[in-house]
Amino acid sequence: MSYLSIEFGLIFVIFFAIYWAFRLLPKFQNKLLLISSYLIVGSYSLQFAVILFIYTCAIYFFSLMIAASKHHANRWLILGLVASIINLALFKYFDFFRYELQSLCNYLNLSILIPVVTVLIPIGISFYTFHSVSYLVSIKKRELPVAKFWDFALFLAFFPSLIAGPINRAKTFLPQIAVSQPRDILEPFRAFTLIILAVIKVYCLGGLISENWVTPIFSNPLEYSFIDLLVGLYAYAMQIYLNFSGYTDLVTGIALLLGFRLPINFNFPYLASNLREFWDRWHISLSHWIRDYIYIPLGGSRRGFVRTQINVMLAMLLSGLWHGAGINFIIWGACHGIGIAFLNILDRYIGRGWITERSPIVARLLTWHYICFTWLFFCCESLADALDYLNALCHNFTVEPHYMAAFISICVIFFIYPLCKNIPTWCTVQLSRINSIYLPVLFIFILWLTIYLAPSGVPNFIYANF
Amino acid sequence: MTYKKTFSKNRRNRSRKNGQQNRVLKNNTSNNNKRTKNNFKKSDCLLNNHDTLSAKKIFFLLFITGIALIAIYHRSILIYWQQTYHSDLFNSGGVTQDFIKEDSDEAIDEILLGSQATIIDHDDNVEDTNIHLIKDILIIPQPDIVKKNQTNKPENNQASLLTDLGTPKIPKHDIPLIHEPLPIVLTENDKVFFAGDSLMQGVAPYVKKMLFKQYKIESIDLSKQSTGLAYPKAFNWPKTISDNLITDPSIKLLVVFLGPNDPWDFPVKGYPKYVKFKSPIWEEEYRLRIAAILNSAYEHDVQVLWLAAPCMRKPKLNDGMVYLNMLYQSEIEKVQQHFLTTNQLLGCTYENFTSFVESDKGKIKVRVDDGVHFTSTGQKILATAIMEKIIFKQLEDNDSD
Repeated sequence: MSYLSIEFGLIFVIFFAIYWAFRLLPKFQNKLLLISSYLIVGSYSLQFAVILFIYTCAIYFFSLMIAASKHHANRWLILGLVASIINLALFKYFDFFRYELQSLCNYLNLSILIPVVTVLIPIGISFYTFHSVSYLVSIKKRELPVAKFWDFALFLAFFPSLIAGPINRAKTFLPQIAVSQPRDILEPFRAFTLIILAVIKVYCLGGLISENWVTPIFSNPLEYSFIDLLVGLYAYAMQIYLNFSGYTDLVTGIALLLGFRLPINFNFPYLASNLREFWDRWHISLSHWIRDYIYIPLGGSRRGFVRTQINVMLAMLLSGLWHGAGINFIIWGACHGIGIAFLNILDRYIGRGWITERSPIVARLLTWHYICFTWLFFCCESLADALDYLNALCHNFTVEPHYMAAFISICVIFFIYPLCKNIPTWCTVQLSRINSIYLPVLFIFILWLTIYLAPSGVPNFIYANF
Repeated sequence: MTYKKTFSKNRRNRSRKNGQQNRVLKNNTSNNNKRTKNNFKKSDCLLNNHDTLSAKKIFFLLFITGIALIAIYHRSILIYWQQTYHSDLFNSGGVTQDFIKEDSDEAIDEILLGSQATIIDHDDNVEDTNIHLIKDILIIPQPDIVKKNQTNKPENNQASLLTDLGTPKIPKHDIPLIHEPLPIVLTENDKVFFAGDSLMQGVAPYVKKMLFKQYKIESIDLSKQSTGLAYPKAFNWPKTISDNLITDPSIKLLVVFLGPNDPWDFPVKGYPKYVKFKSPIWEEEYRLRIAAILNSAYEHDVQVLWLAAPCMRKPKLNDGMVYLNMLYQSEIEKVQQHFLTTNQLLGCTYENFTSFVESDKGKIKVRVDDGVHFTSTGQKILATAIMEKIIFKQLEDNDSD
């Protein structure tokens, strides 16, 4: 069930009423949340709910063993991590590696036939795997006591962050579940702002950009000019940002209305003046997760300059592979790894922030273009498609551009974008100033206008596939 | 009851309960207060500040906003409901009792359709193909006649066909008597138009690229997810196609690929309830919609390549595809256009669904996990099959060819 659908909206309003009717019983609220989360998973497939439950039991068992065992805690941790990664890999990469494995078997003259079965990827598996890793590590580090089973089950299944993040940390999220004091709605005006911004971003702006610029240009890049193809790349970068950050805004708003705080996931990533900064602003919960659970355990930057670059590269490649099993995602990860390593080298030899100090706008422009270039591999389904696009981008200088107006408007947006930085806070403040009697009128007007301008159909959440 | 109790408690505890939120917003509001010149506004703002948002208030806020939006967009929501749940929100259930009589006709009709389909499959009975041809020639140029002829009275049809067979007339619009559809020949100046649902959305970009790469032929892809012929209120393909053919005369080929959104009951003008899928009225109406598309293509001298809806994992949907294909194929054959069966390309049959197709490299996955859509390999296979149907003619050779 999409969180932007009419059905979800209606059910949520009813759920909201029931949920807060039991404000004084937070334990009961947790049960409501757990049941509704499992119902949402079950609405995709009953199997997915069963898989999630079995996974929850298994990880809980490992956490008990880690906490109980004095001498073998480390082994149990490794066992737990391996189990969760194998689980993720089996579901996510089975199809991709089946061919490779089969051809390897054929090459080695092994008469093994790898079964041809269709493996459905359970909804949210990536995200609950991340959640569980953070929990196991926290238990091992004794940052947390072992949670109660049902609290832990809710931590993994909590519906706002189940499908496409943000990635919660056990350390900050489990205490929010295990409260005994009544919960309160957190920052309602911010929640409203986030939800309205989400509708505008995903439904209206993202939808319009996708329909008018991305889809037509990417469907046959060869017939478009250099300018058009640039528009296509810019537009995809905008679309994926609007879609994903809009989604995050929506679930963050929903969580606030339920009395939970989710981690920040986006902070105007396209204002970044270098690639490192971009990763500090884009999908923050993932990049921090990768930093804490992959990059630092690999040695981080403590083992010399060359080893640091290798660690960066490995972390980025894994990040790429996580996004999808396919050469394109690996190239995408590699591009980011190479980019950051290159930046580190520049920093070392010509000084940190050399370009940014001289011309922040040039730094931003360069970063933006490099990111757009990497999105090409993210967007195209196959390497051949991406190469076609690049090929056309390098050759179609004489073709007459169709999207000149779009190009100019994107340029204008690029330059006025820094001004948008304060919009969310400004909106929150304005909403809190308005008499609450007029709020519905305002919301109705904004949502009416947004839906009126938006193309028909509920857009997919791109990140729900990862 | 519990609601009320808790809500009233909320009201009493309101200021305490929401103190935290106030604190968060306090800074902002105090700034605002400084800015406001008007005393009245100031007090209003302060009042607002204390007037905290309880769960009850937020509930009413969400509730009112929701109701108002539903009221504003009730039409779109009804269409959405129709598309998603295939029933009328207020009048659920299809036409059943009222049309039992027609149901018996349906059986006869299905037999007839079945026989048509077999004739088409084997295509060795020249006389029979002539029957179709003559019938079509009479029907196609005049949409009004289509409506009359396409009713579910097989006896009438057969009778008229038999008389027609005796005196094969040359049609008014001079369609040559042919048994095979004319090959699709395109030049660089021609355009291809893709219409369809999400299946087409996956395939069309590949064909677009191939067409342009190989022949420099441009194309228009208007395919849109969740569309079909069943709910013209949501998306009207016959109209869209007709409009586009009028505005762009360089379109010479129409490629259609739809079906999976259609095997459901739908409303038909003049009937109070939803007409049941596969009922005679349903079929009549659906055939009219197919014919309307074929008609506008004929009027603009555009060839049609219609892709059969492939096998589906869900048995009910799969059965629906078998039936719809029968309709598509028989209508296509009537106008001597191209019908491309897709199952063998994708390695499945309607009896046996599989996501994989055998190739030299072993089994390749062509369907994604939903059992409906294609993987990019599957899309490419279909795109290549479409390309194989197209013959490219160099412009210079126009006369000699």
